[in-house]
Amino acid sequence: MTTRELVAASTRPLLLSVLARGESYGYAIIQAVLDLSGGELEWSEGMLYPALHRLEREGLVLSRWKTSDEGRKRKYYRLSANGRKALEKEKSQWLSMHETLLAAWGRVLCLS
Amino acid sequence: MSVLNEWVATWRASLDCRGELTSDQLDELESHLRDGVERTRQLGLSDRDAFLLAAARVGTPDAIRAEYGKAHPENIWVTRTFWMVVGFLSFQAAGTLVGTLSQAAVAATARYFDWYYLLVISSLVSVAAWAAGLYYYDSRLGSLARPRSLSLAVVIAILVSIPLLSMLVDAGMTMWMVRNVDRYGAAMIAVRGQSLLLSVAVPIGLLLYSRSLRGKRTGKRSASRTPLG
Repeated sequence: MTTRELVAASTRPLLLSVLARGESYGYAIIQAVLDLSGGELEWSEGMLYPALHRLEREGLVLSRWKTSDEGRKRKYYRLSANGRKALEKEKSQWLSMHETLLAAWGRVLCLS
Repeated sequence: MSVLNEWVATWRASLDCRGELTSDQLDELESHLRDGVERTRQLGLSDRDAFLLAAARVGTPDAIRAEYGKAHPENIWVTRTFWMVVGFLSFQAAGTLVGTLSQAAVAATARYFDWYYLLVISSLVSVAAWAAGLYYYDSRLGSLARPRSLSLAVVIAILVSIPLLSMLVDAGMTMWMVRNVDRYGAAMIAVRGQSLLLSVAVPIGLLLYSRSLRGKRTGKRSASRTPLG
């Protein structure tokens, strides 16, 4: 079980990463995170949407209403150019944190 | 399906009851709920069970509003400021309306009354009305003020009636002016009437304006309801 703090801290990079794989909407994003984490991370709606809206206000994510194949209207989100840059930054930060921890635990890792 | 739409509409209304979420945010949550219902129905649940399960997963309206409120504090403050302004202006308008009417009554009767009659009569009426109200309220419901006896109710009523004194002083001055200054009463009513017009017209104008803004938001909502359903 991941702690609340870690879940909160990883929301942003995870959200950016999921959207980097393609345009998506709220329900599908929650499912994707659930799949990616092997059922470990189940995001709540009350957490996801405010987080998405915050990213949108920061200009990292763009949104639009689109009618799906079944004729249902959904709000789709996708990464902006700034969002991609932000994701790269997040990636290098998380990887360096990961390296530091591995080094501290006495293991050597070559990431690139 | 139409019953489901009804449930969804009720669910949405309970989220919307305080006007803190925008119609776009409500549309998004509604579409999410419908996604959840659909997925759950595929598992073989009835419409009703699918709806209940999906709604429970999204969370209680209070919890959702709290999460959204944290992320969008400006929404809450727009609503609060709106009602503060409405409250202030209504108070202002009501005060001016009462002021104008009483001033007009005083000016009209100034030549036939002496101001101390007015003082005595209206003080008595006010104290009696408050005392009766408090006493009745106490014996019927019990209350925060809870005067135990009629005499305590009278004391409270006298205290509550003190602001009336300032109005009476005002009325006394008007009477004196009407009697001693030519056409003072007419001028006074004209001035009061204008301020009444302003303090009633301005808030009503503002209310109508904000209504029309909200109308635009709700207009968008009703347009988007059909494809959602």
